[in-house]
Amino acid sequence: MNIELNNITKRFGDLVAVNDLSMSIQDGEFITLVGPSGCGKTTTLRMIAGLETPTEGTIEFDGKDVTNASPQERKIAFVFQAYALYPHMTARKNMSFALEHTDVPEDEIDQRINEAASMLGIEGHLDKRPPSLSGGQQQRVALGRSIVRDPEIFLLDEPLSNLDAKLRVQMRAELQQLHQEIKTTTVYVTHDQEEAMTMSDRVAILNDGKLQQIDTPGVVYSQPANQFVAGFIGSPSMNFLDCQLDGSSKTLRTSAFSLQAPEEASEDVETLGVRPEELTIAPSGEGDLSAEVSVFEQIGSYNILYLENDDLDEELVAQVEGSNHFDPGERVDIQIDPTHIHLFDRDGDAVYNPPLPSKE
Amino acid sequence: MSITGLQNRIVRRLRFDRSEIDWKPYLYLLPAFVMIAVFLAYPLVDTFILSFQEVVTLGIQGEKRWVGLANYEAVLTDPLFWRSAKNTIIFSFGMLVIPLFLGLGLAMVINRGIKGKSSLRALIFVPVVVPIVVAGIVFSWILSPNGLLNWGLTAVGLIERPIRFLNSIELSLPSVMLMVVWKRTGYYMVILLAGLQGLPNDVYEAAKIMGKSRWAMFRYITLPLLKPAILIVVVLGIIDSLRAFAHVYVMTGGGPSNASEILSTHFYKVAFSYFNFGKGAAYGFILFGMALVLSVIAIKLSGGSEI
Repeated sequence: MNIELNNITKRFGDLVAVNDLSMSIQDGEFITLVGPSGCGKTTTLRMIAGLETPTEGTIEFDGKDVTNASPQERKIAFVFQAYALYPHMTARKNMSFALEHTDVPEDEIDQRINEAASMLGIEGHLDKRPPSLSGGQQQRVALGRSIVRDPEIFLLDEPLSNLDAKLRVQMRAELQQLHQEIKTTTVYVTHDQEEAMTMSDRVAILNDGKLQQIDTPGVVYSQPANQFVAGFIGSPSMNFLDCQLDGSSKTLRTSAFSLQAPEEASEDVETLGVRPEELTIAPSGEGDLSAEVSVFEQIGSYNILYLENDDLDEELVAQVEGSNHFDPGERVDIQIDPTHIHLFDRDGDAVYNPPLPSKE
Repeated sequence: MSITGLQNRIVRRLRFDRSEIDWKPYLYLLPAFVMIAVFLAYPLVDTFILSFQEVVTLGIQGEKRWVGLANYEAVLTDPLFWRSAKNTIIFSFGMLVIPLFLGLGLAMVINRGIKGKSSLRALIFVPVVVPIVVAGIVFSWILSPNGLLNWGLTAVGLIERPIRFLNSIELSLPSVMLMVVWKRTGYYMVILLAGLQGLPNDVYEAAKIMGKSRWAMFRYITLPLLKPAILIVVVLGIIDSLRAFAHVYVMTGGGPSNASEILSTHFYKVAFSYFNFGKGAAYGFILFGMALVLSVIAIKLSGGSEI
């Protein structure tokens, strides 16, 4: 089912939770709303569900206006952050409750529950109550409860945030697999950019109730629309440095070094952005700038360096290969590839982004 | 010397005796032990022994005689005991059933969020803090032949002659129950409201998305999740129904002709009006046993011990 959000605004008293948001979601698409706390992502999801009504704007499902329709008329399923399971009912009862007293016959209810349970691997837990299930099992019951209703749209509100890190990664893959099997339009809310990047067909980044960018994970990472998106997507975050463009020599000047500016750079450039992985360690004396390692973080597959330079106010973060080891206090030379930089103007809008990497 | 200084000196002295046992913790526990022993353990044991004795109150010292289970037999074969028991069951509707339903209804209305809910909550809770004797006297005035209720009923033309609520065989017990309902509703409402406010909102939203009706949400979500709070109310109601005394004693004294006699007022009369201490003691233990059994049944029936 297609979802169309047309200029929706939601106010709670003086607070504007969602501000003039428009978005089109295609049938079968997995879209993630991501942003920091209070950015309006959950409110947007609740408006799609019908749990909140927009103050302004309209919501359409397959071209039909559902702005004022009740949640049950919208044929959606909603998975809550805290699962919202009924603690007094068994897992089976939790899943069948939605279908009881409807026109679905009892043997079909049983069949749907058994199918969903085997899809989610919870066949052995159907007669247990939620308090005696682990977080991951509860999450699967909550998903199963949604699947048995055979909804047109899946809405998930930070469903993995109550799980431990290892289980979160596992469930992430399971959710993707589930989406590939059932191919239902899915809107997923999270504050974790890594979840957004790994799971979605497209990512919508929100801040202060406004849509910042909506595109595929590859584009939002490589070609962020503005400085907020550039800083929010990617871990560790992009480095930002104040800079000026010398128009005559097409040179970008920061307080510590200069770089050849790309052709597209214009006079109103104010900020230079460089991803940590684009800061490479150069042989001594050959780098764009020299810096001192203040902190060395060993991750394993890659390592992170926090770097200080006396001429720079900001600390730089560099990501190096796992085989590279440094000690705090060590001096290193850094090289910046001018074709992989990002430039932003005074308002934070992107002036230049490098081209998308090709598939080869 | 300060109390702590004195304690330390005593402790040092106890140590000085080279006793193997460290008496210090026992010394700190002693005041509580003494209180419990004097005011709880001794009376309990003494009353239990008394319930198997006949006490002759004549003479300066009186006399106690062992009679076995005769006191228990006397209580259980007393027709007034059974009448009081029946009245207590009726009375428990005023103490538990009616205020439970009213309290639940009011708690749900307030929980839904209506205008002026804090004032309404306070207003409903006021009767709880009114002393029972004061409430009894005020209700006696209201219900008396020239009281407010009779005046009102006469004024609107519903009755011609005043009704003697508290002196009527049929109406005396319901009249007391009226006061009890007024006093208990707010009490239960506060307990149930606390229970309702502790229920997560998302389980209701999940039900809303499923298209469940309000009744279905109440029946299948609110009631089962509120069970612990309801259980507290039920157990309190049962115990208080058996313990209730001043409610009846102030308003009717159990009359007329024992029409409003409940177990505790009858128990009081047996022990302290007729000075039948042995039978009174047996009566007390029977009441205690009933409260215990009923509470256990209530907990078992509700299928859990999670109070």
